[in-house]
Amino acid sequence: MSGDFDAIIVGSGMSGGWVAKELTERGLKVVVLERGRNIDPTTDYRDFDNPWELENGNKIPQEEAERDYAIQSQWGGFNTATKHLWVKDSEHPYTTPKDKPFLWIRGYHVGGRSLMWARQSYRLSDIDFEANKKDGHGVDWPIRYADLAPWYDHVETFAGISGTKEGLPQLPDGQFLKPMGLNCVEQDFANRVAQAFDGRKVIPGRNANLSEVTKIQESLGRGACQFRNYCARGCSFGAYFSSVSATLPAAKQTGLMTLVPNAVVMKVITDPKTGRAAGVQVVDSVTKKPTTYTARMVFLNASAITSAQILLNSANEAAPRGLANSSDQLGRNLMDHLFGISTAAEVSGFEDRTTFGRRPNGLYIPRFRNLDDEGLDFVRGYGYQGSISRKDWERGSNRPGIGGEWKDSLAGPGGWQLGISGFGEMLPYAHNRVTLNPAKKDAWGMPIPHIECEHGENERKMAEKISADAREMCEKLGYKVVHSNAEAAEPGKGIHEMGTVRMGRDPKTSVLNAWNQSHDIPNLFCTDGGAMTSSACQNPSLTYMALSARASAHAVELLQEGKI
Amino acid sequence: MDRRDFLKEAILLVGGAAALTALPGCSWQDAPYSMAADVKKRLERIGEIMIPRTKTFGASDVDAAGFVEKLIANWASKETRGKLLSLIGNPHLVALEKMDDAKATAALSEFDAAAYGKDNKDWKMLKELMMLGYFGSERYQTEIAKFELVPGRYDPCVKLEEEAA
Repeated sequence: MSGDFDAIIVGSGMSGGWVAKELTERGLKVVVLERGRNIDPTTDYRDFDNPWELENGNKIPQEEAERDYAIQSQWGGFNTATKHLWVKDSEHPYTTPKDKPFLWIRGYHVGGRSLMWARQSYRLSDIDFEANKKDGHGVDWPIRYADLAPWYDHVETFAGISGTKEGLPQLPDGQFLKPMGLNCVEQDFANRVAQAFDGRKVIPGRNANLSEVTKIQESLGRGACQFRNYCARGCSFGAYFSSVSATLPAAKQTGLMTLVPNAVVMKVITDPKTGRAAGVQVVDSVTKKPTTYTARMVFLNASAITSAQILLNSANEAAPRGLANSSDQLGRNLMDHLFGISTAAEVSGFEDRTTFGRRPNGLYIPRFRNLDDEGLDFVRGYGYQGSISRKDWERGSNRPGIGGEWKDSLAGPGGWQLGISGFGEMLPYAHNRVTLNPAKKDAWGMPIPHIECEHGENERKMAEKISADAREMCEKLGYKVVHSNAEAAEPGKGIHEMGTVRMGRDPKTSVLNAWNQSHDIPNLFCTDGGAMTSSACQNPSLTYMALSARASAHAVELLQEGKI
Repeated sequence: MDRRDFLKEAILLVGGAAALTALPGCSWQDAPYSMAADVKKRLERIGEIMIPRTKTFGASDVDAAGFVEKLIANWASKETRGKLLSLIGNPHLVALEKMDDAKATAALSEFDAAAYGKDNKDWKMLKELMMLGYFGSERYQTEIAKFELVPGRYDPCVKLEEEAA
């Protein structure tokens, strides 16, 4: 038994890091339990390897990829330089129905996926917070934009988000560092889209990379972005936001955080007398030795699927279908973003122009559909992310050509090419759910998740429109479309799992209240993607951060008032 | 060519990698792959014709074939390796060795065009690997592509000649 903590935080990733920071800065003593190994930036970050130094030309041996990384290897960022940051699928199994593949792409180590995220950071708006109520899908969010706005300010200021103020109601502005702006061809694209399409805008992506360094970031040893675009390998400058570069160091500075790697949380335990959370059962991932941690409250930040898995595995006599699950919504409403609907087009002109440096960012086209009733055959909307860049020597590999002239023609930059990909909102469906596989356990004795998730009719119709709108933009501007697809990737590939522990107003239809607090168990919180009541179409991490900070502050107040 | 390589090539000629498992007591396929000298020579010839010396250095100057050899040994699955070795043993490619450069260039050009016409994935793969071995080499990246590991800044719009300077 290991006690004497005010709070247990399960998971050290995007949201867990924030909870650790906010609770410790308010004087609470916390233990952060991370199922993965520790990260040592000096050996785990490969951002100083030249491209030619990476084994096998940065390719993972085919047999190893197939044997150990069947799912992870489907993600484009999986390569020699990053392999060690993704889980071995062979060691961390889950099941799906045969006809409903779900790609669960993840990393188990201190910092979690905050080390590998794409860093795009957008606020949700009231259009998103009100959507469920308006069109009747899912349940109403228990909060509105005004509840979260000051917390968006708070997390943006600390994390460091570059961007431009645009005055768009569907994508509220924030506290931005100077933007990592559009290049001249993207700017031309932006100007022409604005002219040709009413209400459509192309803006610089808002990304969690330090385009400049404020005092608060400097105090944590973070430096400015060096424009290498090797973020996925880890950043020795701490120039992009992660738990490892920002929130965990802040929590550590307080002297009140204990960080325990290799700690696999099996279940939340409750006090049979009060029904309140008393702590968690843990198995050491290396020695397999069991331990129990106790505390006054428990925060689940293990990511949407694992947080639901832990609560389902915490079923007891009083809660036979899983802890905090009187609503029967635990594990349900799993969402991801519609992903992989991409368009590529050749852009003529600007042959005498290029760029210098590798910008870890791109362009963003904020949602423009269904902001008002357009009479479309689907609800909600989508945005696009992408860039326009000059092709490099690789353009020679997909067409015939050999010999001296061909070789020399590849030496300079090729033509400009646009590539954009839609990110569409997925609706919450009760049948898209995570359950425990009753027949299979992992190496630590935990029943593995069974994930059943599929797109519905709304998603299929939206996917077609995402593709059609992208093609129309290109064609109207005279760009030559060279690739276009209208079918979304399997769910999961957007790596935005959400909704399995959803917030809501009614304890009968939701797991968490407006403060990310369990309706059933007042000293149990969840602030990871599981809490999301709807998915919106914006990249969700910034919202997890804001929800985490807000819930943490409220939990401390409750604790101080003796209410939990 | 030693006996093992001879056996490997013979097998590939008669039925590809699938035939290998039919050989009782033959365990060479589990040993680390080592490319026979004459196979390497053919690969080098393909490289120097595909990416010859011009006003700049060519594939042979950066041992792009050696890079491909390493990938065949360490990256390729047994199945991929079998396909690539089979391709390298294709009579049209073997014939490049006995031609002068001009004839070899014309022959490989014809082979390449036909391969794209037939969507010959093995050739596309070999070509991509050879290109990676050349264009991705340290010498190409530093001398020609002017790769900088730490650019330190981003300029969204540069005139090409300024960038080159």
